[in-house]
Amino acid sequence: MTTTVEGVTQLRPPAPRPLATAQPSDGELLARCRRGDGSAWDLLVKRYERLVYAVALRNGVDAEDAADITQTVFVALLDALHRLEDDTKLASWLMTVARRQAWRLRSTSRRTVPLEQIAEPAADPYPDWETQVVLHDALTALGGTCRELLLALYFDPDEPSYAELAERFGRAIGGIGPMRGRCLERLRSMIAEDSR
Amino acid sequence: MTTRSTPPRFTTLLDWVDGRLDADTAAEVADQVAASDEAQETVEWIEEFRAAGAAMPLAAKPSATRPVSSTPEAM
Repeated sequence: MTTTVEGVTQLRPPAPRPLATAQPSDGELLARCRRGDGSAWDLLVKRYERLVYAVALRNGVDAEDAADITQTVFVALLDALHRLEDDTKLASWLMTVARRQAWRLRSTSRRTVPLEQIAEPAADPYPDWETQVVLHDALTALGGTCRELLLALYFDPDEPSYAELAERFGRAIGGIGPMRGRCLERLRSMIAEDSR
Repeated sequence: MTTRSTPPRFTTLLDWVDGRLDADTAAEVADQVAASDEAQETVEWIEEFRAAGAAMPLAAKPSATRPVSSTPEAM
């Protein structure tokens, strides 16, 4: 951005963006949702929509069914808002409900095809499920910019560049690499502490 | 006398796993990893984390589908 001051054109850095660390925690959002705050609900949905959709897809349904399951899961969350046992485990709650919905849908659709065409389900078609649940709960606990950065770098199929992430998070491009290192190291420490 | 160097820092190991180091530095880190159980454990953890991301990428829900929106009612 350029500005002219007393006839001199000066380069000015872009205005800093608000940092993602200012984002409310899940606990705060859930509390606001319980009071009927629609904007908090929208934030919560935006935060977890991709995760729920990914879980449904990963459990063997097609894109259209995964989208329907995503809808169903958030309706279930709305219904369960006042009964959640642990607000810090929202990620795993959503993942579990999405997984059950996918399995339910798959078993329902199987009834419409001849029995001989039904493949025997594996004991667990998703062997790294526990790892995923632990990681996403830890990412939730990590929160803020760190969570968003790690998700963007390691879970986003669009694979955004460091330049895009620097723009998104209002950081210098040279700070993205070290920041991801600090965030991931913190995540590892949190998981280790939680497992003790 | 041989001295055992300290393991590389976490961020350096992450840069190494992510392929973000130049060839000379990467070779140096590879030697350090080979010589350190602690560094190997860290590298394994990083690789497991990366594998988890690759196994379940968080793709956007197709925009053609209904948006997930509803407003919770205060109780």
